[in-house]
Amino acid sequence: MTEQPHHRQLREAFESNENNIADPSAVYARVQELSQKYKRRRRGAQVAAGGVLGAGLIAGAINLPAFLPADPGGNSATNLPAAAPAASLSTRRPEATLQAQLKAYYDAGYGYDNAQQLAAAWNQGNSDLVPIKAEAGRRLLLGETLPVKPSPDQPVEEKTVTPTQAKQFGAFFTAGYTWDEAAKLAKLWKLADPSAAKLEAGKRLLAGQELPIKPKLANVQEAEDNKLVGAFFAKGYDAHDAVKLARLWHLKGPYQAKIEGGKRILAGQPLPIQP
Amino acid sequence: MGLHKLGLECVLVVVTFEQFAMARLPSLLRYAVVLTGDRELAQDIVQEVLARAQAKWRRISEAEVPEAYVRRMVLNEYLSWRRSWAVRHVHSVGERLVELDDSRGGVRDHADGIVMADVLWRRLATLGRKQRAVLVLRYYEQLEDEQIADLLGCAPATVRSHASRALKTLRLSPELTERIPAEEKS
Repeated sequence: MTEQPHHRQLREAFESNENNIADPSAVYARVQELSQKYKRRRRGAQVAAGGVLGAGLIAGAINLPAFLPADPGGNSATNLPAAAPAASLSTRRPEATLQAQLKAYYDAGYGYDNAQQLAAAWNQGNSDLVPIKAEAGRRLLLGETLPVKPSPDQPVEEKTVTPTQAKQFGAFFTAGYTWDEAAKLAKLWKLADPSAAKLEAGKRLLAGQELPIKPKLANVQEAEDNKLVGAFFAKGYDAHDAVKLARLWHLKGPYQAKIEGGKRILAGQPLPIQP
Repeated sequence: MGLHKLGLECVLVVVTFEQFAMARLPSLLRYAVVLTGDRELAQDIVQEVLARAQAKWRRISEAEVPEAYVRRMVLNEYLSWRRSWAVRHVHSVGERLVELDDSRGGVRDHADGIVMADVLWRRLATLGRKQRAVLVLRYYEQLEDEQIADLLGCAPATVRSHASRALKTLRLSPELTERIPAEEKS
């Protein structure tokens, strides 16, 4: 089958940007640190769940259900997760039962958001919602009432941050701070995660306060560049305009044109082309 | 343990978390970058997901395809409410990634196809999370709509609706398509 033009364009857009990743060794080091926290949390959650949930959910949570068949092509990247565990085939929820429970869940009008709510209500993590949905379906099939009423999934757009939070995140990043500093600040301020630290840091920066950790010089420069580029795009210019301007100004490339364009825009100067 | 089927026989292969992380971390980071459009957020998500995965690795390693399970965790983390700021933060983030690519050299500077990829990447940053996730799962992960529906916990029709709206927002077909150089269409 011939690939549609927009398929190829999207694939190219993804593939041309996918390699801009953080240093895996740094990520791994952080994982080691964080995992201790999650091990403690998980032990707590399991104890709490024991008093709330029936055996069905516990079994579902411990034994990953075969939610969907494995990819016949053997491509692990596209296989869906939660295949049956080799060591516990005899104890896991039968596939037919699981499917019936999930069907009951969806037929009753429940969705993804409801599963998140149920996970919270039952003191479960939300990293794998299939056992939650299955347990909910099991209860529905038994004629039980769930603690959450069915409701349509909320549109994604409604789950945005408040304008205040957006400003706080913006202040954090435009000052040249990155995840590394957010992680340190979270530790320093005893916050739950780096995202919360970014918000708190942004709040303080907007209030004119200094943070106990300084951003890296290179990141400050990058943030400044981003600000200029942001001004360029905010004015309505796009990547095509940057290419034209780079030619007009005899610059190395569109990136430099965006920087230069941003400078002129912020200085109130007109650009030689209209957006 | 991962279960690898060889004909009629089954061979159990023990994969430690360390081995898994060393082998698959770059791939997970790439997946998260494509989902989020943000290198830092991708790092944030993968770190948190892997930390949780390590804490329950014995269970995950019993899955036939542990990586698929972890990728699902990455997807769910991306879709979770705590990450909602990304939708608004995406503008600068999307630009940053575009700029990084721009700064890598002039080879692509005048290539319309590459510029189009940049334009598209920036537009992707304007999508809602589920819409973007649908496109990533369809065109990056190469999943069928039915598989995507199960991952997202919705009906296949909803997946198609998300995709349709996303493509419309991205102005893919017919407007953007018309701007693709003729030689690329052949």
